[in-house]
Amino acid sequence: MSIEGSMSNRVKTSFQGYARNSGRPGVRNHLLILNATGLTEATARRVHSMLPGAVLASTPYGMGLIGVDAERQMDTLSGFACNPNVGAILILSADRLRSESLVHAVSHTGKDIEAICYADVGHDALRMTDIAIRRAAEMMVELSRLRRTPQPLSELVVGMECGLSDPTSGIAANPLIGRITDQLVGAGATVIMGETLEWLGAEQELSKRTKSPEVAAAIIAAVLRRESMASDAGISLTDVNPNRANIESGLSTIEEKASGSVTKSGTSPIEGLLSYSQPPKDTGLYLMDAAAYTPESLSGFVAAGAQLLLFSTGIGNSYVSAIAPTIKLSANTDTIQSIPQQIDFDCSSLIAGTNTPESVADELMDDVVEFASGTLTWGEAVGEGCESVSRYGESL
Amino acid sequence: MSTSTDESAMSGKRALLLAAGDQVATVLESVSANDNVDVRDQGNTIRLIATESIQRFHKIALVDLLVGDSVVRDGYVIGVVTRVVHAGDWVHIHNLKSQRA
Repeated sequence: MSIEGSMSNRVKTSFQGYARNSGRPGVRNHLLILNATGLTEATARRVHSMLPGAVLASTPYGMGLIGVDAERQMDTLSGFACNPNVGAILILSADRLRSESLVHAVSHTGKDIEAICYADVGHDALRMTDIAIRRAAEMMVELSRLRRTPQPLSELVVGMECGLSDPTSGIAANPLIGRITDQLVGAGATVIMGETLEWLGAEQELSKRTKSPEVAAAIIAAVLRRESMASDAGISLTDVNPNRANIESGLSTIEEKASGSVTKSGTSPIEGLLSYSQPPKDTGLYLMDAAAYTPESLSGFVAAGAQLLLFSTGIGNSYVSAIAPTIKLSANTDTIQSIPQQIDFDCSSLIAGTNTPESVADELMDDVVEFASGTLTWGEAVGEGCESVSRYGESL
Repeated sequence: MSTSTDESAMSGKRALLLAAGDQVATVLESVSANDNVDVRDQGNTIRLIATESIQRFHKIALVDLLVGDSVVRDGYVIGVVTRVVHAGDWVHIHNLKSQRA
């Protein structure tokens, strides 16, 4: 794809965002209700239902998480709080230890953060509800004083996802996302692509785009690890991929299936391999070694600091992040016509042949800037957003 | 297989080339043997003649390929050719195999 020079001139270099005391600017200015323990989840949902302007991120787990799970839960929950789209955080927790460690992990951002624990409310969920709603309302009013200001596009971190794909995904929507990846990286921004399982068959090609042999080896090892996780569970990924429906729809080999997914990463060099919810150290394109299931995958990007997500679908997929606006795109005309309140960007003209890939990419890039500047995605308008944290083993 | 549509002598059926240098393109509508197939490659249109019927979203060879040749689609090697392929042939599991499986 040798299309750079010709269009880099017309790409906008800034968006209207919320400056933060430290770190990157937000594309939204959310109050986050962060539920830190499963015991308080119902309370957190009740509080959130009374405050439709706030966003909720919640975990059903708490004590008994061990090892990688213990670490990733806290890293991911604190990652949600540190996300630039979050302006203030109200933590609900059954135990003070968890809320205190979260407050500590977020304190460097300078954000308004408060925690309410069971011990503060006499272990009374209704009292917690009452206090939380009143406190959250105060925080929201305070947050609303902040105004958007011009922010450089290079401050964006964007996660790239595909889900419920069909043949149009691999030939149109995902290559389009790849063009946006290259434009964003060219503008000095940061892009993350996850779904390790979907690299299977393209891992050699991805590893060739890294700048160090260590990163190349880590990508190969990450794919092998997922493959052996599956074979330990009695599943041969190479035998079932592509599956019969894939083959009937035109996919020939696992390499082809993989290329249709990893094309979201464009042609930019790969700077590094992140673990789940790990923030990138620098700008440019990063891979994240993570579960491929959309809810877990998107939350990994968001906890790593992604303010925006681009998400292609073939047959339709309503899932979006609560914290990061999730721009849904499809090239399937049936899908676009049947679920218009889900698909934010129609790229079916790539298949109809009525527009060039370059012009469709420019149009989507303009929309990315608009969504970053405050235009609502369908997912935001209808309140679809969720967050969920990956698990790695059993609890005690 | 494919239903025949009215054939305009001027324009062929369309196939999508994903990256410059690819050896295959994806047909965007079902194609019958001897149909003209047009592929846009960076401003130029290449015309092929399909040698057989090819279903929508399946691949057509843009060049002749020998046994053992790699096939590149969207810049990625997607497998190797297991029997001689001519430009205009359908490229699928009968003449392309994975190097990974």
